[in-house]
Amino acid sequence: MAKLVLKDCEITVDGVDLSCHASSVEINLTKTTIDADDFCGTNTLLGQEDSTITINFHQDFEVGAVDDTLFPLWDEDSEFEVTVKPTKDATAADNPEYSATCILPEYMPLSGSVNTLSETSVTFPVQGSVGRSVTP
Amino acid sequence: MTRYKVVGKFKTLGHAPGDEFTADLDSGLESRRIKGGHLEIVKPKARPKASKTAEEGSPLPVDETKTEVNE
Repeated sequence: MAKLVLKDCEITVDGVDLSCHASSVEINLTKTTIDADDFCGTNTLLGQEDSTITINFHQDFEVGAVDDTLFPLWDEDSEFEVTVKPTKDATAADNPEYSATCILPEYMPLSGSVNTLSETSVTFPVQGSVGRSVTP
Repeated sequence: MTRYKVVGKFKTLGHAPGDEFTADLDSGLESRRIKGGHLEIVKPKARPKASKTAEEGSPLPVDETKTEVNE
C-alpha cells in the first residue's frame, strides 16, 4: 500500500460495524512516562500503556444503530472490543487491524445546534494494550 | 453454541444484515447486541414427527426363517 487517503476505514465497536457512521478515527498509542532525573542528567522511563481510541460518529437513534450500540456499553460499565483497519480489505501487512479492549466512561448522545448534523465524539480508553494484527 | 440472525442494519460480529450464524457469545455481548437490536436468537425449527417404530405399536416383524408345520 502506498500513501493512503482515508476513504473506507473499517471500525467495529463491540462487534458492530459502525464504519458508515464514523467520520474520523484516532488511535492514540501512549505510554506513561516516569521522570528518573538524577545528578548525572535527565532520564525518562516508560511506564504502562495508556492508549485511547477516539472516533467521531454521526449520531443515529434508529433501532440497532449508533446510540443502540454505544448506550448499553456506557450504561452497563461493559468492557468491549474496538477494532480499526485502514481499509475494509482483508487484514494484511499493508492493512493492519488494531484492536483493543475498551471502556466507555463518557458518552454524549446528543450535542449540537440548529441546522447541524448530530454528531458524537467518543473516546475509548484502552484496558491493557492495543493489539496489531496483520493476519486475517 | 447458539444460532443468531443479524437483524440490525449494520454488519455485526463479521456477519452481514440478514445472515444467520452459530457462535458461542458471552452473555454480556449477547445481551447487549440483542438489546441493541443487532441480533436475535434463531429458535430451532420443530422436528417433524418420526414415523412409528416397532416399539410404538407397529406389528412385530415376521420371522421368515420359521416355517409353520401343520400336523
